Amino acid sequence: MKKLLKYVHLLLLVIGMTSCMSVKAYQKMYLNDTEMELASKKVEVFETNFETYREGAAGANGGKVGGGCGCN
Amino acid sequence: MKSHHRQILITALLLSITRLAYAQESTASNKKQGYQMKPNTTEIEANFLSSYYQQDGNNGAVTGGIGTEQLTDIANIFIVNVPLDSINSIGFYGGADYYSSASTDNIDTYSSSASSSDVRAFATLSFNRKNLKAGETYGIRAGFSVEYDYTSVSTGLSYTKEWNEGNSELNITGQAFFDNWLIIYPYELRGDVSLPTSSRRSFNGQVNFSQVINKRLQMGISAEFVKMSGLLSTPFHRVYFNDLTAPDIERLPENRLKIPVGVRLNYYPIDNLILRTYYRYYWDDFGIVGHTFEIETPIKLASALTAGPFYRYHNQSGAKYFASYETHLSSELFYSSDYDLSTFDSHKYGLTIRYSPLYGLLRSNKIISGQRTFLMKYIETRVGIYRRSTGLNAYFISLNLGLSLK
Repeated sequence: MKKLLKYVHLLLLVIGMTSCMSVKAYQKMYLNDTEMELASKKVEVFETNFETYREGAAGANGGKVGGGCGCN
Repeated sequence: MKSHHRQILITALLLSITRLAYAQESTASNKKQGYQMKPNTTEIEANFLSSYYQQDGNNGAVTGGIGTEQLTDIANIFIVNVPLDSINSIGFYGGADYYSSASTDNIDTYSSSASSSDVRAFATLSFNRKNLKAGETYGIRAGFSVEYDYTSVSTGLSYTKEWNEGNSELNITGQAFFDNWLIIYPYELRGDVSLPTSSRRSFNGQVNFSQVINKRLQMGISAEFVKMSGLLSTPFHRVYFNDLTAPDIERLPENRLKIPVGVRLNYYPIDNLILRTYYRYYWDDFGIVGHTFEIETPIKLASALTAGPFYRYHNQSGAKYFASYETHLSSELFYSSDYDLSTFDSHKYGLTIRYSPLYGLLRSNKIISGQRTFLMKYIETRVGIYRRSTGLNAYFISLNLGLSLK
């Protein structure tokens, strides 16, 4: 587990070092594809909701953190 | 919090602060490059979403960790975004879900109880304003959620900054939820048990950073800080003890701190295949540590048709207040037999299919004053199975219709 957490830490640091990569608007054919969106898909909203209820661990994916008891 | 957990959180926060500082400097750079963020178009976009979900298991929290967890839920959501002009827009997110639950029917074992079926209605209204030259968007939102024994109102603010010609984006969102229970105790315990409060408050701070890495690869990091207080247990959950015949209701602390950090990496390696990956680390002060990994591989079968098999794995250590049926001791301060808080693995797998013809599925010419055209742009469906190592099994089918008026 400690090893995995080290990798997460390392990934965050690597991400911190990557920046300023400039891709022009006309070069974004692939990046603008709907499937490349950096968020959960809209159709996944119901799954995020039941996973929030069925798992003690939740969040960091745009899911609900309040506004419903989640008691069923 | 363990030291390596703290290190990850500190790194994520430092990264966010660095990004924010860089974003401030980059406004001048954007101006130099002549870059300006996209203004709103006149197109009104909407989505109609619908879902059917069914689960069953044998660890019902209402009956103290034994008994049925059967639940059926039918939900519908409508989302619409209306641009008011090139910089202002309003959004609506609302819907309702109907559920029937054999588990909550056991609140009252003598007759069918109020919670055996219920409807939850919810809506959020938002307003966003862009500063095109600075690459900034400011948002404000307010919402509510109502069901038979639970009401919630929420409010929130958001700030988004894009720079580096739209290749970098930082979003900061703060939300507050003010909830209230209509307390329903298990039938046989009414008059014998009580709770100090019926309210719950949640404050949620979220930082999202996204970065284009090259023409085919981009990534996003999301860190959240959630502070909850008030009634965090469920009043009709029973707990049976090892040293006592009579049960009690679930008792949990009145404060909870949750910290999830997620990383998303999307890659378009070849022309008809995309890799969508996601990892989340989760920590909370109830003692739950979770790891979640997701992968989806959308495959372009034809110009309008995409099929994406997906798989999700989740693992969590249980809350320190959890124990199974007749395991808790009555001398403990906090206790729960809700298996959602237990140690388990879960697997979810299924398929997404999206049909999105270039000129839409359905088109109605100039329906409003001869000015606008209604378009059904695409249809997307998702079916899947969810299996938890505690024995809970579920399946679902969801539908998304993409609509527009332009």
